[in-house]
This record gives sequence, C-alpha cells and structure tokens, in this order.
Amino acid sequence: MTSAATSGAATAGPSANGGEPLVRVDDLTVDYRNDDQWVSVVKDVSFSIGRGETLGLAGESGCGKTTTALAMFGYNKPGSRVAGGRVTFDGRDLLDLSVRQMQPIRGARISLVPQNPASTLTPSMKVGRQVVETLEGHGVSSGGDAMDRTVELFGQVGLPEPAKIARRYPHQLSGGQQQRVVIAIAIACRPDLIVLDEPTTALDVTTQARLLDLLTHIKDESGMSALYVSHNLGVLEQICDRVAVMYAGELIEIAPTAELFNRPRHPYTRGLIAAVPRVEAEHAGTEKLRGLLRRDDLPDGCGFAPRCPYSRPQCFTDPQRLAEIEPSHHVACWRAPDIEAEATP
Amino acid sequence: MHFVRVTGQRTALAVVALFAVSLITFWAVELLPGDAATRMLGREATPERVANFREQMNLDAPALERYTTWITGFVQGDWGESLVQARPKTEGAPAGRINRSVTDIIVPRLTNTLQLAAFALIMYVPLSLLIGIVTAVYRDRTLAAGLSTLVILGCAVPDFVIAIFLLVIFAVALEWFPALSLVDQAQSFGAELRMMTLPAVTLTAAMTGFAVRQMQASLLSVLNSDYVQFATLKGLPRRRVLLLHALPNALGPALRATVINVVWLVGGVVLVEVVFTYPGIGLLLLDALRLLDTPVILASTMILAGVYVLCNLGADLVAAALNPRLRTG
Repeated sequence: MTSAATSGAATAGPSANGGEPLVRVDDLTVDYRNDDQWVSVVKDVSFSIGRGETLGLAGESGCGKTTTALAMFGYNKPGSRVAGGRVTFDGRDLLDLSVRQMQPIRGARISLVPQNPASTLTPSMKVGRQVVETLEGHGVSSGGDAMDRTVELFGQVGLPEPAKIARRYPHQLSGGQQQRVVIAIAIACRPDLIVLDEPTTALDVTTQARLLDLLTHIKDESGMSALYVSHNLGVLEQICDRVAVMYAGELIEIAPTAELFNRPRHPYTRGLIAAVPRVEAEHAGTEKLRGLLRRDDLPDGCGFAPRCPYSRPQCFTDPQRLAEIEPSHHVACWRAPDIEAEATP
Repeated sequence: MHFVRVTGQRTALAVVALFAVSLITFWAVELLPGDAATRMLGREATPERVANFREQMNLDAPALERYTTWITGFVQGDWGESLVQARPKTEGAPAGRINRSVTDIIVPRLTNTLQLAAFALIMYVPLSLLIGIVTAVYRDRTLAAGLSTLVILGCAVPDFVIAIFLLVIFAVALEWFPALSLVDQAQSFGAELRMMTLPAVTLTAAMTGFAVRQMQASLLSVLNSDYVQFATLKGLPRRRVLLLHALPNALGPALRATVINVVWLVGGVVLVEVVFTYPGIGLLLLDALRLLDTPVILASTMILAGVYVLCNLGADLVAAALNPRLRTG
C-alpha cells in the first residue's frame, strides 16, 4: 500500500548535510476516518534526520505532529491509515514491514517518550517490571541481569533510590518520576532514534527544566538521533539542531535552529516565535498569531492563508510546496521574500 | 487502615439491608389475603379446624409479636419450622414440634440451586471472557461482527423464551434431555448432569450476552489506551501486550458485570426452576408463597438477598485486589 514512490519524492526531503541520513520521510500522508470519509491529517510531509542529529517538530495542537511521530514506528492509530509516502530508517522502508518485522525495531532501535506519563505506564504492573520486559523482549538481558540493568537505568535517569522505585506501581510515583521511568524504558536498549512527543508538556515548569537537562545529557552521551515534537518553540530552540514547523498537516518551514529563530521566513513561523514569552523584548512589534487552526475550513491553497496577515487572493488557490530559499532553509510560502522586506524596516 | 474500614462499613450496611428485606417480606406476606390455615385446609374446612390450626401454629398472635419471635430465633440460627410441611413419621419429634424445620427443608433445595448456578457459571465465565476478548481484539473482522450480532440477539431474547425453545427442541422433539429436571430422583451422577444441562444452558445464555458486551467495551477502551500503545511501541509481542498490559486492566468492569449477573441469577433461577421443574430454592419459594408458609418464604428470601449482598461485597474486595491503586492506598 505504501509502494507509491512518487518521482518528486526523492529530492523533496531537505536534510542537514551530506551523508545518508538515519531517517528519511518522503511524502508521508496519513488519513483519519471521519464518519465515512478519509481526511488527510498529515499531507506530503518530507524531512530527514541525520545520525546524531536532533530535529524539532513544531506546530500547534492538531497539526499532525503526533501522527507524524508515530509514523516513525510504522504505527498508525486505530481509525487511521497511511495513504502514501515512505519512512526509510537505516535503509529500510518501515511502512512496508509487517507488525512482526517491526517488533525488533520498535523499542530497541526506535523508541518513544509520549506526552502524558500518567497514562503511559501500565497501571497494573510494577514499573521495574515494565523496564525488564523491554530488555528481555529485545534479548538485551534477562532475569536478574535485566533487573540489575533496570536499577542502573533508573539511577542514570536520576530516580532516587532506584531499587525501591522499581518495586512501585506507576500511581505511587510523581509525574516527573513516571516520565523518568518512561525515559529509562526508551533508552534501555540504546536506540538509534528516540522520538520525544511533548515529553515535558504535562509536567510543571521546574520538573520540565530538570527533564530537559536530563534529555540533553543523555543525547550528548549516547549520540543518538532524536525527533523532538513540541508546540513550545523555546524548548526546541534549546535542544534541537534543526527545527521543522508544521501547519494543518503540512511542513511549512524547516531550517537550522539558529537560522530559523533569527530569520523565520514563513508568516506562521514568525507568529509562533513572536508568541514565545521572553524576558527581553526583542520581538516586540512582530505580528502575533490571530485566529485558530480550523481544519474544517481549509482553502485549496496555503492552509495558513485565512490567518495570514500577508495573504493575497492567490494564496487561497495555489498550493505551496517547500522550496529552498537559503542553503538548508526551506519554506513553503511564495511571498517569503516580500514579507521579509515588508517586516524589517 | 483504609481498606479495613471500608470493608467494615460495607458489612454493617449489608446487615441493615438484610434486616430491611426481612421486614418488607414479612409485611408483604401479611398483606396477602388469607393465611397458611385457609390455604392449607381449603374452602371446605370447618371454622373449628381453621381455628385449631391457627392456635397450633401461633397464627392468632399479633403480627408484630410473630415477627419478633421469628427474627429473634433467626439471628440465633433457629429458622423456625414450616407451617404446612409435616415432619416425616419416622423422625422422633421433640416436644411441641410437629412440622419439619425450615433448615431441613431448605438445605437440600439450596444445594440443588447452588449446583445449578455453579454449572451455569462454569460455562459462563470462560465463554463470556473468550467471546468478549475475540470480539474486541478482532473487531474489524467479519467473524467478530457476526459474534457481536449473535450476542445482541442473546441479550434481547428473554430467558423464559430461551428456556421454552430449548425445552421444545431438545427435550420434546429430540428427546436428548428430560423435560422434568427432578434431580432428587436421579439414579446416577450422569443422569443428574443431563437433567441439569438444559436449565444451566438457559441461565448461561441469558447471562453471557450482557457480560460479553461489558468485557468487549472495557477491553476496547483499554486497547485504545496510551499504555497499550506504549507497550506495543516498546516492541513487545502482541500476545504479551494483550495478556499482561490490556487484560488485567480490563477485568475490573467485566467483573462488575459478572456480579450483576450473579445477582440476576438469584431471580433468573426461580423462573428457570419453574419452567424445568427443578427442585431448587426458587421452586421452593414459589410453593411456599402459594401456601403462605411465612417461615419458609422468609428464610428463602433472606438467603437470596444474602447472596445478592455478599456478591456485591465480594466484587468490591476482588476489584480492590485487582487494582493496586485501591490495594496500596
């Protein structure tokens, strides 16, 4: 079902710098069933993640970030389907693999840290056991060794009294502790890619900051690649090498982090960055985002046009594709050059 | 400890509920026209005989006094004696007692009913679990859709209709099973099992539909949960995800359905016993009501209500045992 490799796809994925990337996503399209109709929630998304690279994926709720993240596992939620595209991981197209073939990859080579730690761990199972079964399932270690390794991992992610915590049930831990357990599971088999889907959003600010430090530390030590999904640009700026911005299921801008934050080219990205609360008022005067993403009311052309302060009639009719505007800076907006001229006096 | 306190509270409530049941039952029987004397002796009985019977059975005492006597005995384990069933001639009657004690009457009947209920439950539990799991896990397949339809059909058909259908087909037309389930006269265990099969199948069929739907719904919501998705994306085999991550968390609500079913059994068994003439507590209660045999009515009702209350209590305790959140406080 996913063999539809369109001719334009091969060049569409902007990558960081030469060399074969660890992950290539080409023209990924995912549909969700809405009554009797299939609605595309992710449309023709292409990007790549280099080895050791951290790619940020930004966008507001409902823009398709999580759906894209789950596609890294060849997984689509019940009631959804991959309508097209490819996800190539280390040379293999994951969307062509069967569930059984995916099993050794999931959790071992690609792992997940989901959004809400309170609902991620199985309530009826002790947390130590949930790490042990991951290690055993992938043949990393077993029995007493797996338990020792679990305690070691718990220490590594900064859990106090790791041996004691291992014997607790999820509900006996705080949100921050639960998320550390989830991170321990995610790094247990030393994966090549860790997918972080809003890993700190459900936690309070202090815990968030500590977990970010931990994640940065783990990444630096292990050298694994990461896909960091968040609506919080401030967080992505701290931790990512490159950032991709999604709007209404489409990738609208992708650039190295510093470049994106210094010279955002898409009006939506500009609005998002302006919305980040900052101590220094450097972005004062930049346009804030107006309105809300309404998926039931998208024009044929640019999805952002109804909310865009720079839109022209053409924007509503002409679809926009990512184009390289600067080296490794891609943007899907034909007005990008004009806008920069207009906005900077 | 929290757990112990809650258990204590529930038990106290259960005792109050049972007391209320006895009061209501007693006064409801009082309100019915006639009494054991008129029912037993019939219309042709002379007034002297009726008066004699009433005096003998203490029926001419005020109702409140009779209730007090009964409840005082009941809580001490003396459930009184039947107003109408005579003690067999061979038994040496203790002074002042002429009729069979309620305990003697009820114990064999209760044993029969418990056997029937156990037989039905043994078929029901694996059947409803299995169908519930299959229809939830393979919800996209035609087989599961077909099973689900069958289950809804089973829910919709009243149990007495099922009973009569089974009776007509398997007892009357095919003659595989006896039409009368007189288990007390069964010659062998095999014969007894054959007599119990049709009533037990009726009970099972009536209970399974509801339980399957509960199991299906609760497993479906668990299968869509974040933790099952996470366990899947950890790369665990599907069977392990189902057995260790999904099922233990889906059983709670399904268990509640089983409790409701056992509670339903208390009533359903009366009906099924009547259709199949199965000599259990349900048929006993019906016969006792016909003759207004108050002590037997009260004792049967208290037992059925007791089962009801105990089941609910037991379900809470088992649910707590399954859920570490409740167990560890």
